[in-house]
Amino acid sequence: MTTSTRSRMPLSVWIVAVALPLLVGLVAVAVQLAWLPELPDPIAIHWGADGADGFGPVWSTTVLTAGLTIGLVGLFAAILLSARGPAPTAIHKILAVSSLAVSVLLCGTVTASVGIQRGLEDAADAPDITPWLIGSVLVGLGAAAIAWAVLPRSVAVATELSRAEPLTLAPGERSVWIAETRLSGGAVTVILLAVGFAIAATAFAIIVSDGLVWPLAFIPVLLVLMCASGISWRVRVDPSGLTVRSQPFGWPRTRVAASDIASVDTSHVEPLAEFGGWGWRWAPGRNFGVIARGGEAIEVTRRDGRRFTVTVDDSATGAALLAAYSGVAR
Amino acid sequence: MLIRIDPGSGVAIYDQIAASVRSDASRGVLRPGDRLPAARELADALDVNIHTVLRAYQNLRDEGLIDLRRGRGAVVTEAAVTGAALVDAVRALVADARRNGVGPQTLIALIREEYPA
Repeated sequence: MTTSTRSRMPLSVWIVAVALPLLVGLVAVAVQLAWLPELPDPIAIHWGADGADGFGPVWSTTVLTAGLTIGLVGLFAAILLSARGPAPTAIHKILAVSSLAVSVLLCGTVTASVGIQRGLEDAADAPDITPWLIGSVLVGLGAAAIAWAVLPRSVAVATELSRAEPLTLAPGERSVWIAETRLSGGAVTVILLAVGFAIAATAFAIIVSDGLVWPLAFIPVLLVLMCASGISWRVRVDPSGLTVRSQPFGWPRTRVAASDIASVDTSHVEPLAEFGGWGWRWAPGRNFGVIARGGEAIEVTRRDGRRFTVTVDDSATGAALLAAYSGVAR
Repeated sequence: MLIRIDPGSGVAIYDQIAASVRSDASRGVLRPGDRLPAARELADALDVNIHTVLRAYQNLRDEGLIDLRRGRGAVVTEAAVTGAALVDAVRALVADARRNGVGPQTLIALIREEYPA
């Protein structure tokens, strides 16, 4: 176990994650501004099954392009900035190329939606947007694939596991270990940024569409609920096994029965490098995890090989008791 | 926090719960302001009656180690940490005295000398 050090993210990762997406956004805004004199006002900003069905002021797409690009790039940059440990891992690279792909998709689609309305009297005559949407997706994916190939090879994250020494239990002893684990301040900041951004984007979409897309308001509500349920967990080890429950709703939760446990270890977790973030996570090779912060964690391997990780203080004590109970059940 | 219960030990369950909380405080696992698990949750996990847990919590409150507040639950006090550390030191001191054949009267006299007025 080593103390976490800020990782040295290669410059190429920052170019792919921040510089290129911002450049794409800048070009998109410049092109849209150049087309401004040829556009109908209002312009179409939303397409349904029967063609254009949502309209907004002529400046709305330009503001949308700039705001979404800056917001998304800022979000990816904030996540990458919080990285600790060796870099770039596969997850760092996924974040970087996602930033590029999303900005290309976004700017491509929005700019195309403006471009096809040049010279129209009434925006309701705007042609179908679908081919441009598909094209933007393909270009975005292509850019991501090229960027992936150009970025340095991803480094593997080695996990140091130390097998838990079972606590010595008296016959008939019924002991429990209860601990609370909560998200670190940095993670909460990133999540608040993301939620704030989603709320702003939704409010903008609702306003420019004159309330047409009001059901979108459910998205931030859902996000807030999901994030609130992912900030604090109670971890409990008792004779029945391990239980991790989200506070305050008690859901989602995970139970690993003592009889189902093959081994219990303690480890040191780097959230971003190993799980790609915080909260309820799934990571290839690591399986599920409740990741509140970097640092010590209990790692359980089930009999079928599936693993479950939970980051929690005083993990050695909890792991020792769990090891004792899983041994008793054997 | 670790709560150890051995029904076969002859010690009352609520005393064992209180002793576990004291030992967690002295190990530094519990810090002032930390909240103990709700009595219902602990009773459920230990498979004991909720009144047993409440009695342990009330004893700890009477010793000044926790505050019991409606709606806030059982909160560890400042005194719990200093007090628990002292209890540990005294325990070690007594064990040391016993090993060296020093009787209680002598030990108390020694403490008095170190602690004038």
